[in-house]
Amino acid sequence: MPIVFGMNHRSAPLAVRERVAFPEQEIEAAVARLRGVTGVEEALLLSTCNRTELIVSARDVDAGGILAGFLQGERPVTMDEVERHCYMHRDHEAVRHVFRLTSSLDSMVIGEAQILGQVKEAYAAAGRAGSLGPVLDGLFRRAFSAAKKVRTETGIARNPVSIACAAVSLARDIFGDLHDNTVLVVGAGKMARLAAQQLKSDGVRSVVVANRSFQNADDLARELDGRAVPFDRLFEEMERADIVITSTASPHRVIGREDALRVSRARRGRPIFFIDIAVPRDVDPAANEIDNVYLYDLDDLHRVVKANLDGRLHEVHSAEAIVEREVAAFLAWRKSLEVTPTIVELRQRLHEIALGELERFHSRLGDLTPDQAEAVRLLAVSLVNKLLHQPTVALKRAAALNTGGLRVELIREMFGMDEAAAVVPVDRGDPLEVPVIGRPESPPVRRRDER
Amino acid sequence: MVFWRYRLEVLHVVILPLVLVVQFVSGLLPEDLIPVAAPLRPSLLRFHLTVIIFAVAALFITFAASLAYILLDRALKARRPVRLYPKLPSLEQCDAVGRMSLLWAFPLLTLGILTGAVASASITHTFWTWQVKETLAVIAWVILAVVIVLRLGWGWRGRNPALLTIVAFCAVLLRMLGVY
Repeated sequence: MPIVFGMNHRSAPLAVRERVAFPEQEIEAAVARLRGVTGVEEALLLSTCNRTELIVSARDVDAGGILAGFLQGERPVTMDEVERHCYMHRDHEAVRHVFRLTSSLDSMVIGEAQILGQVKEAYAAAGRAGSLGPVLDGLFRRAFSAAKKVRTETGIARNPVSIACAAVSLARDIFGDLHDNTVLVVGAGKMARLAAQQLKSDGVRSVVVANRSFQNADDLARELDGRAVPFDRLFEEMERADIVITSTASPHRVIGREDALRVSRARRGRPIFFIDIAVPRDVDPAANEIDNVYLYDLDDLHRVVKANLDGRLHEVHSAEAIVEREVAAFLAWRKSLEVTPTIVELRQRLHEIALGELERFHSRLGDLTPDQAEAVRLLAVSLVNKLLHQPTVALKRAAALNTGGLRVELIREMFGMDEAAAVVPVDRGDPLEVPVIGRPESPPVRRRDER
Repeated sequence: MVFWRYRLEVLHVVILPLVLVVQFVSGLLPEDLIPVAAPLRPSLLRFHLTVIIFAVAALFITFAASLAYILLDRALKARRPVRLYPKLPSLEQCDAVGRMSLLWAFPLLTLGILTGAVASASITHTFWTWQVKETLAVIAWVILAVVIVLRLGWGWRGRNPALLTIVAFCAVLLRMLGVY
């Protein structure tokens, strides 16, 4: 079963996380090294700015020590820091962690879409490094489909949670698809640039930049594929622009209520949307009272973002419920895989006994014609198969039960089977596929040397 | 027509209940209120009813768009997140739909009122009586006329025309639903 070992934004401060994080280009090599560590059977390495996690399938009981050692050997961190900030999940806890992680329930900003892409990249890198196997491959495939389900069936990712995206979404509420709209950027600050870029990428037709320093305006206009105008033509331009982003460093109001009123009249009532992201504010808050003038300042946008975040938190419950369902489904599937090696081994063992006995009695049977020898062999094989039928059915049924493990143990004990063989990884595919009876000497299950 | 051009399925949400209410109320009304077997000019009466039905249908859409506009405008002005109305069209779309459907509704309504007056003249031999229903229709017509003049002439748009349109529609609805 899988093991998750690592740290995230909750368990470790940035100062530690940034040292532990693997550079993107090194991940493939690192995951291959991780796969090479003794005891590790499958490995995946996820490293983003908020988390670094080693996700492995390992046989060894002391996986924690091994993984901590690996991390400390790979990255410039002390053992003390690793021990203090890392968490480890095993088995179904690890499965749940991976499902929550890909569904963005474990993210700093819940519902953000980035993490799914990052996990997919890590999965692809591990695939290229050849470190994936049936356990992790199955786990992540399921996790991706669970994440998709969570995104489509809950509102966890519906409303924007960044300032720029919230502004664009508001602009859409006013103007629709934005294709006929012009945005006027007042001031050439960084925030204004971000918001304008966002609007531009969302299809705004043209960008006009006005700044006290014409040079800066010109630079920004060039960057945004727009047009720069002198600052004193501000109100003229405003009559034609639909969205006005202000972010000047001016200590005074740049646009008063009267200005907004005049502009609105000149626009003959076409709505105008002021996005005031300057501190101190550039637009008189009273401008919002004017008909067809909509004014959002930084606080308003923050409020919108916060409300959207709260909305997401409301959706977390239903998202968690979906994750729980998916985890349960995955574990049931895993369990059904678990009994397969036992069934295979049971058949193999009994057939070996039968053929061994046949060999032993060979001399006592005297000279047999080939037909007779074949008949005796078939008798033995058929007897074994008849005896095996009921235990096989019981094991298959056990796969679906929570108490399946007990039943498996019982049967293993009754037939004196080797305990360690139960963790042999099996080929994926039909989990209950049973080998063709009669050819026990060629086990279809890939086995590793246990001892 | 509006649906083909703007594809605003949301409007159905507003329109469908209205249609149901109107049907329900009209089912309650006694049948002899409308003189179906009017002695004179029945074809004119039928024409009047047809025109009025189309006018009111167009006005329905104007009303729905105006209502959507008001709701969205209030949400935006209050700077509350618009999460409450996730599927409303944008303000500009509401305004455009309202304007277009009004330009259809108004001539139809005018024609409807005129033919109604003529039909009434031919039935009761009085061209115009200041009954409540007639007054309501005229009030609605005047409001709509003002809205149209403001919209086309002065480039008025947005919240106030939307509000006025809603008032006018209510007048028409009242008149239809039997304030006699």
